[in-house]
Amino acid sequence: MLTLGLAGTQLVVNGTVDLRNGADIDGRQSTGIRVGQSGLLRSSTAGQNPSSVNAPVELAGRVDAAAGTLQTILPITTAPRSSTALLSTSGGSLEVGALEAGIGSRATIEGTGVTLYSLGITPGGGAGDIVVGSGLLHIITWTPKGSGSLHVMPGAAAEVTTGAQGGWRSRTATG
Amino acid sequence: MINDGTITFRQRSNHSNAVSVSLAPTSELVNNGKLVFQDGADAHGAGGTITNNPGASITKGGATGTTFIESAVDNHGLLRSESGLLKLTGAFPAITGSP
Repeated sequence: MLTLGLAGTQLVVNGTVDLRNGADIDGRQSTGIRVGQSGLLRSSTAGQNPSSVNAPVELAGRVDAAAGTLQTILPITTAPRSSTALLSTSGGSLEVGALEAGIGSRATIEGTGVTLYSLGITPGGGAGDIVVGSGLLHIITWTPKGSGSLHVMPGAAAEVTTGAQGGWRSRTATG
Repeated sequence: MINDGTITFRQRSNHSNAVSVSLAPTSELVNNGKLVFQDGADAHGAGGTITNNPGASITKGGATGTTFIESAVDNHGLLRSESGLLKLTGAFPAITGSP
């Protein structure tokens, strides 16, 4: 467990943060995690429990589940005007509590095994885009709003399941 | 929203009143691929529009339930119910007349 205990603490990732064997990050009191364009936050081994990231994430780089399950509980927000944010699976499962694409930014989702528990395209009149580039994206709650877009590319798929419940979802900040 | 692939809306049987997608007023879902509503999955949002382009399809599947599409459906492609009832309650601007 990596704890970002102090208010105002921020973890900046420009290299690789590797969560192994179910390791977690707890940063609920912190400013959160900023994954730069060259940064990678990943789970690389399968533990008995998922690796849980309980901190807000500002993403310009990549969050990847290479093995095991990687959960992000607080929202992932694309970095301002970034088009390089990538959420992917390359052998594991990625469970995202909430994803927000801000004004002028884009998040791309690739691979099968990504679950979004809450998908927003905000704020307000923002033009944030979320692109499903490949694989199958599973969406639990989908309430399109704002002027941003969700684009499912050719060959990719999204499945929206209504009213799904689960123990993990009850832990999410977004409900 | 733009769909060039496949989007499947699936309703869990124990949440019969849940809405699969709710389109905000003036929002548009442009379908160039496949939209599949399974069982009783619905599309709400009377002010929104689903544009089903040529070559694209909106299909009602699953063994049970009624799919309500409350949004306007501007249909230039295929609308098909393989089972159950596909009920369009919104505007249907591609043709003059009722759905």
